[in-house]
Amino acid sequence: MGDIEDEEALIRAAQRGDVASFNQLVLAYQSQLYNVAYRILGDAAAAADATQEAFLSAFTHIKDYRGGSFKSWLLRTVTNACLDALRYQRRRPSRSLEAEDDDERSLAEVLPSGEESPDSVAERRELRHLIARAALTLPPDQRITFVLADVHGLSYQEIAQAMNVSLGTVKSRLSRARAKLRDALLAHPELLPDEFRQ
Amino acid sequence: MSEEELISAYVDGQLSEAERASFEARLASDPELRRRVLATRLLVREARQLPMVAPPRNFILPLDAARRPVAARPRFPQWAYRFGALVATVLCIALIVWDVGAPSAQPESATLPAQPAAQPLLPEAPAKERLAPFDAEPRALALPESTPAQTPSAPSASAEGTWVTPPRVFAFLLLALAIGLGMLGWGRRG
Repeated sequence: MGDIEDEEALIRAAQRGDVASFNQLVLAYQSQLYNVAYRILGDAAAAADATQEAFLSAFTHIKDYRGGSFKSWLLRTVTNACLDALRYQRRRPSRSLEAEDDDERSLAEVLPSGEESPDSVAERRELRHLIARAALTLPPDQRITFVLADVHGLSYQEIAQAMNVSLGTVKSRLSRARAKLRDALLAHPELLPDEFRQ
Repeated sequence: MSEEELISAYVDGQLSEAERASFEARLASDPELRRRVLATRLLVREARQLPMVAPPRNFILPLDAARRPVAARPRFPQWAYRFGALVATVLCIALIVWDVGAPSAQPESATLPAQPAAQPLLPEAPAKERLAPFDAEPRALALPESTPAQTPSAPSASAEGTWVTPPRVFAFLLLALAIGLGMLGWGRRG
């Protein structure tokens, strides 16, 4: 994810119109961009469309890239594509929230095996599904901030660059997103650890 | 800083030493605040554990991507186009209402062709047409006032004046602008 030897050289070549060089950048970042789009949109097909649109837009406008974090610059293109898709979804609501099947497929790779009881594993799986579903109900700006900060672990500074907003705005949006999601968790005490059930 | 921002900053370790000490003192005496902090910590920890999903395909671009035309991103946000369309529509309607409701400011002699001194065949026609100028037929514009043979046979043409007035032209332009902005604001994706 972004581990490429000479990113700057590839970017310069892409700025000269070299598609093959740009495609190496695509291969390096596509997983991260797709996952960001997936957590924001909650739909695999819509996330794939947004990711493709983001890379196409990035290539078209790569001459506008003036240095700094290329990852943040790419994340801005994908969050813009997601915002476009969300506006489109709002006008034509149809599908969403199919995240669970994919989550289940890859959950085994994430959970530590043999350290938790089956009940505990199931509860944590439910808890994560709840978080993923609740995140999709957040307003778009808060949802994007939450996904970048808490799901993908970006710093406040990276998020501010990716969303083209101030650090204060990032902190404010993140705190509001967390408050809503936390309240959604607290509404399901049966999924929370013992300390919350007293 | 709001309490939620304090909680969020505390969980992220973003508070200064003094802020953190003050916040922890509150935590010690406020079980509800402690519960919210614990739940926020749990949320952040579990969110980080959400699994990465494998992309369904590669997103590499075709090698001729550099030559393909790409639609330019709109210059303004969607709401701006919608707002502009609404403003243009309201102005257009206001102009039409004003134009219909207001009495003609122009003297008759400026808009109407010269009338014969006497119109014995249809003496009421000019008065009616002054009351209902929009019923007039545009062909009246083309009638030369100096055609004596046509004057008695087309009295409505002589009385209706010109349909194309500056307010109507402006209203039409506003309508076209409203339609254009509306298409940009509602018609495009995003």
